[in-house]
Amino acid sequence: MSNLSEVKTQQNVGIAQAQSSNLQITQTKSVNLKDTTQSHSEAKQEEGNVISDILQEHLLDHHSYNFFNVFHIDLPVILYDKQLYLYPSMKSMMAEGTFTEIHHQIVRKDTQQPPKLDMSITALVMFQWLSILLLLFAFITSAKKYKKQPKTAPKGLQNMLEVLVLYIRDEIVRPNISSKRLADVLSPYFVALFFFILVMNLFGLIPGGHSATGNLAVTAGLSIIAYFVINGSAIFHVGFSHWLKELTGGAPWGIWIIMIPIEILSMFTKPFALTIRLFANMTAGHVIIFSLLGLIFMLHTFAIVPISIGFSLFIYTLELLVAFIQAYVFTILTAVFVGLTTAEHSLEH
Amino acid sequence: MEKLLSVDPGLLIWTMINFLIFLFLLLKFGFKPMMNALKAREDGIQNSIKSAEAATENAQKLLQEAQNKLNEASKEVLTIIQKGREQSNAIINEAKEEAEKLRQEKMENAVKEITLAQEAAFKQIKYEIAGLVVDATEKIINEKLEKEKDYELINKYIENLSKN
Amino acid sequence: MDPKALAFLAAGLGAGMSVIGAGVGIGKLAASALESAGRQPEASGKLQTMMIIAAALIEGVALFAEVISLLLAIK
Repeated sequence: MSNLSEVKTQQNVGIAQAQSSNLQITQTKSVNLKDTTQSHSEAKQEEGNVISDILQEHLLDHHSYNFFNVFHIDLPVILYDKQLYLYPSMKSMMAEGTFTEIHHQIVRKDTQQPPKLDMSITALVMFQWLSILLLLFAFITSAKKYKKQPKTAPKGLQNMLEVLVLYIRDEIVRPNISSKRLADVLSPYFVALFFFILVMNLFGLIPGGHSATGNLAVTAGLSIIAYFVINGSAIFHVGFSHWLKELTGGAPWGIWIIMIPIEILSMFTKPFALTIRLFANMTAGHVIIFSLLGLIFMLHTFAIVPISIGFSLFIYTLELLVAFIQAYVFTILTAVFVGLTTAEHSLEH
Repeated sequence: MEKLLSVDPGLLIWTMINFLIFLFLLLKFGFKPMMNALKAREDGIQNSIKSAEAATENAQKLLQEAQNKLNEASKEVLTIIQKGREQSNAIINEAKEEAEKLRQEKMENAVKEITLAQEAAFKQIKYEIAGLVVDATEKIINEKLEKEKDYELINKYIENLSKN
Repeated sequence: MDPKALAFLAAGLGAGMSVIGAGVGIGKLAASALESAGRQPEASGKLQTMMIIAAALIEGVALFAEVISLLLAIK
């Protein structure tokens, strides 16, 4: 990582600002380097770092939000280390002096150890809240319409939401979960899951937006909830003893010693696969777009511009599709797993 | 870049909190009204289908009734026409019979009258003939009433006349 | 040879090979799903769902490989 940016963050300037100014500096530098016929490899190395920095800025979580240097929001820092520390921003945390930031990581000044828990409102938390607000706005306005004219055909936003909600209920939840009662209880969870993931995915495609689902912690959080939903519904629906029996896979007792570890492992690999799938799909698209655009800066030629732009547009469109598909896949796989663990006849074969 | 694959526990906890809050708010303000409205709409559609079916049935019934009435009316008309025709036929027949009777009577009367008249005429004629015969006889007698044969002839003739 | 370079090589090769595997798998899946849909067009809705689920599972395995490659590349 460039030393320049480190120095600048310690000077309490926003990270992103530092990086973008860094980019400008390097660009001018590389022009100079060309003129002075110095080795290109060094310049290329630095450009690679700059692109990597921008990628990090886009993909990773931060304690502030920067919109193309047009405006900059400092987000509150909440730390827990034997006691609760609340700071309105990174700057005030550094000014207070208990904690400091080294290598993009908050550490205690005295022990150089990170705090026990960093519950800061980061950019991705902010984007989650934004998606929640957007979704609630959409749902509440359409709910009002339902109350105002309950028997007319839906129109516009209301119609779109209704189509998606009914699709989730009738095509994802009900066919996969055999018990109708359980399906009706769980359908709000699946609707919430689908819309939450979808809107977070789509936020990453808006210029200046971050997709929260491109972070392992976010997808892991969703998967942990999915894990509890899968096993909780199994325990509540078929009973705890039956759920324990499921762990034997319905096999004769002789091979329980193999089956039980496998079943326990698969209990955890299911949500783990969900986590990785969503994270990797959302991250991969962003990385590809940035890499394609980075080619322009790496190769120093305008000839590559149409190729880069064309391909990144293509990937962008693909990402739009992937945003929907991954929300759908996460939802339907959770529904399938719930259906598998709650199926009445699963012990019969 | 190593941070890309690290899980930040704070963000993980925030995600779970956010999702649960979202689930709760969605359930309360978005999902339930939507489902209730959908249920109401489904019920409404069901009801209107049912009422439409009932209305169709009703209309069918009314149509059937009207058809029945129409059929009855046409039957009645037919019977009335039939009756009328029968009546008229009867009247015609009666009239015919009466006329026949009348004719018969008249004919009989006429025949009677004719016979009466004939008889009267015969009587008259007989009378006259007798007179004439008498006259003629007188004349013949006066001239040649001698032959027995002539008398005989005259008598025979008169007898024949009276027989007729 | 520089061990770091070897790690990068391994990451690239691993990513590429896992993509080959996933590509072959999803391709076969899609081929047979389309064939079945052609034979039984009325079941195409159900087939599509099952195809997406199976594709997601194959993709999941491939993504594990990709993540391992990524770990190799950035650690």
